[in-house]
Amino acid sequence: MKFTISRNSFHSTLQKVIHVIPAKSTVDILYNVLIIAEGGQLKIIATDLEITQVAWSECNVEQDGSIVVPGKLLMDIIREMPDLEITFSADNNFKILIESNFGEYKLSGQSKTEYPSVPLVESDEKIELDNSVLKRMIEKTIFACSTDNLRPALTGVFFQIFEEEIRMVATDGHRLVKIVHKNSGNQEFTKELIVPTKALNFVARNLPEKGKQQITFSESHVLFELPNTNIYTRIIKEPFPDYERVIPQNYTKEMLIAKDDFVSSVKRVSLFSNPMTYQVRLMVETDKLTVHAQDIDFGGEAKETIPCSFNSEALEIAYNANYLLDILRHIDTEKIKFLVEDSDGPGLVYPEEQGENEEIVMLIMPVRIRS
Amino acid sequence: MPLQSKIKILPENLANKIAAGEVVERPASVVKELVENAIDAEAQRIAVFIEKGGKQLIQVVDNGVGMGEEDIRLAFERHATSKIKKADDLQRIETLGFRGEALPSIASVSQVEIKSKTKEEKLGNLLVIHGGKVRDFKKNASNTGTSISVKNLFFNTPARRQFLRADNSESQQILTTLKRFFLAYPDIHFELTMDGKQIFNLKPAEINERVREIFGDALYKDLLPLSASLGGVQLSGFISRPDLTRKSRGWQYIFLNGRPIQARSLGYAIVQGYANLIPAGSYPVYCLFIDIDPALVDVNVHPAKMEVRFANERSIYYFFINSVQSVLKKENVIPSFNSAPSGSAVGRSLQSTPGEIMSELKSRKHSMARYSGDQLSLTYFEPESTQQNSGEKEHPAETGQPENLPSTPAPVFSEQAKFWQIHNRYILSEIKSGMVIIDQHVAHERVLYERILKVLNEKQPMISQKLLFPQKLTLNYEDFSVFKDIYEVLNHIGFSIKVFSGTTIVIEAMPADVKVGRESQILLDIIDYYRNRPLHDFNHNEKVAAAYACKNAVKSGETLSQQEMQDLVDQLFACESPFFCPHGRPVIVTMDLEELDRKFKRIT
Repeated sequence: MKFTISRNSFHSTLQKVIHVIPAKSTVDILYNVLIIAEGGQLKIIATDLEITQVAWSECNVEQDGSIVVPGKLLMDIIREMPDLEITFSADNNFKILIESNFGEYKLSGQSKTEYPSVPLVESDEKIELDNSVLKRMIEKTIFACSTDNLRPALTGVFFQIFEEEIRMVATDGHRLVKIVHKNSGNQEFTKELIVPTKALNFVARNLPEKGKQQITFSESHVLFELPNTNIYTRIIKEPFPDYERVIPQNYTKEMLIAKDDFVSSVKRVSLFSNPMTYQVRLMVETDKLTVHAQDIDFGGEAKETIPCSFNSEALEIAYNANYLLDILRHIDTEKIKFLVEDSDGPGLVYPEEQGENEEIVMLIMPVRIRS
Repeated sequence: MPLQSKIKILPENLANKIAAGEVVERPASVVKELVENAIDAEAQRIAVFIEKGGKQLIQVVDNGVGMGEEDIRLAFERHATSKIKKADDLQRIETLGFRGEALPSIASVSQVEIKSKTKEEKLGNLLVIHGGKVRDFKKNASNTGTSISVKNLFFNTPARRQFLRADNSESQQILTTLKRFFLAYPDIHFELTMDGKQIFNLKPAEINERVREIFGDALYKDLLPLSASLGGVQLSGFISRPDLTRKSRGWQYIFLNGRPIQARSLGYAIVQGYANLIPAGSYPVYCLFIDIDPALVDVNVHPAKMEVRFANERSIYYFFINSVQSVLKKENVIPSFNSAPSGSAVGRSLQSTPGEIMSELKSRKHSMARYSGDQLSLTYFEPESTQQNSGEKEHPAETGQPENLPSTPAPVFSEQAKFWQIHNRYILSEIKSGMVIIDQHVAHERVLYERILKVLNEKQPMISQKLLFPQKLTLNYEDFSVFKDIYEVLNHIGFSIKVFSGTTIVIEAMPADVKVGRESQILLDIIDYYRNRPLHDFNHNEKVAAAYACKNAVKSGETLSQQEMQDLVDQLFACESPFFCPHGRPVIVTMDLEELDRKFKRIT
């Protein structure tokens, strides 16, 4: 194989897929990328077996071919080059020669026969979503996913595609986020599936500001078609918990509070919480909220009071400060609606006003304290 | 004459009061009897000669008071003893041999030659007995004292002889027996020659010196001195650091009024004192001396006189536990890499104390502690510097109980301590005197264990994270019965579990430090752990706490961020005993700069 390409095109193409390469794997070939040159196009493929990403750009192909190359090394070489014309060639013994005006670099590759193939996603089940909507829904949900593989269903975001709306739900069992985008559904099919968090991260990273993206669903995979790159991800084949059942509908006690005050107060106070439980106590009264944390091991203690308005008698409730902050930070409005019923049940967090065509609710489970 | 001689025939009724038993089992028991006699004869110097594991020759030569003509003859009659005259004396035995059955027993199964001379006599006597029959008895020129040689043990009882082990093994037994005497009588000059080679030549010395000679320098430097008293009972001696254990009880010595004894309950008490600092199947090294009014003990339980009974067994038992605990709490018990004897005093003074390591690693919380004024209640201990710097360690029990330190020394480093994780298993950090290595799993285990115990003792609030999706779990009957046993403790430490129906349970909340998604698994793990581990040394609560701590702790293989490592180290050093996990595995290992320098041949 042999092709010439500008350093910048090569770099940006490689850059797109390089993060898919796993940090640690028992399958050595995954540390490599597959480079294919054919029909005037350079294609670079990386996979961790769950996610496969393909990126491409125009180039001048002298001789079609393909080769598997150590991903990190290739990236390191290309990154340090100025924007010049690069000639990339490989012989039948998989010896690679990269030439530029500066000089030449030789490295060894391997045959593509060992490299996992790109999944085939052929399906009529497709939707189109505005980039901004997709990006927003991803950002509002993935933080709440579990990182522990013990319950795989919770390590991804639950997609629900209905006739009239698209929903994304994420939970780790202690907090939950549900975001609904209305008037964007699909008339032809309904679908429920769980998409791994890592794939959504890559999607969000590669999404341009404007435009629409097509998403294709097959039995086992989802394909996100993005500008000059495709992301394929395996679907998590697990039942997602019945989340609707745990979102209370009948809450009446509502606190309205300024988001920034609340966030920075919890941040400061939580520095004094026990670093294993990060527990903070909230004392909600009609006109003020007291945030309190104590670390008995080290004798640290902090207390802050901020104004709020609460339509019920005083109530004390405790949360893991990290969960609380995660949730508060993802609310965009100046004021937050915080609904609690008692110190044992979940807390519900809403923006003061829901966005257009959007409904977002976040839920956080309290910690119980017996002193 | 008979009335003036030292040895009396025991009255029949008294002879019966003394339980019968075998005295001579193997060469080692002969050695024991003979050396005891020598000690009872007030010898200042005792030489023991052994040939072929004692099968061919056992000879004990002493410079004691010796025996006159009549005594020698009587000595070989059963229940002839110089040490007891009436039954009341059994209540206050202060001599070693008293049964009066040793010499005749030995003489009946071997060829004995005894030479003895008292100070008053000009000439000594020589008695030769073969298989219990007197072959010769005559005047003989000899030094003051007694020399007994026992040849061809069991020559006339081939069956017994067959049961003897290889020479080497019998020699070991003899050595074990003799070491007890060596330790019990530091003021006696002992010599031991085996097959022509002198093994020990122990000049009269202080007990510390004698212990050092017997245990060897390497072991000795890791022994902690112990001294305590309760009522009329005095306890002194040495115990090993918890990381210095042996896989057998071979290095355990207890002496009661100078007599080596085996007291299983006391041995158990000592192990209890170490509590969970030593792993199962390992045994601490110790050498302890009890001084007690002889009226309060019964040493006549077994003819070999190794087992004793105490009048107030329970209080002695707890006295032992407390004495051991107070030493361990006081002392520097961090394991270090210094397995080779470092020798020089400089080397020892460079080693870090637990306090130093803590203050260096605990950088973040120190700054925090300033905010909170007198609320800080750090319960760890810091050994007095005098104990660390001098080779001569004080007896810690005399210097008072470990104290809670309300104020802490300024951290040695002002900047944040740096941590490195290696193989996702150990945390490495730099300290002034070298480096520390912390096992992440056992460190976390210790933290959780102490926290849960505090929660159980209501010293700390229980924090329980409610679950969004209660976990339903059907247990098998076996697990369910364990679950019922520990159900209350579990709910006390932050679980909220309800029985749904049959053996199906619903987990509604978990202790707040359980990782998301692990709820069911951790409960099953705890049940398994609780069932499979015979943690006899723990009470019920401790056992659940240990199970929870072990199963919920960060696993070896998990990647930790800088912050997580810092938090873990901070938490660890807030523990009461940060250096060992609940099962006794060490948590922290230090390596001195000097040790590294030596390894790289910077210094020699």
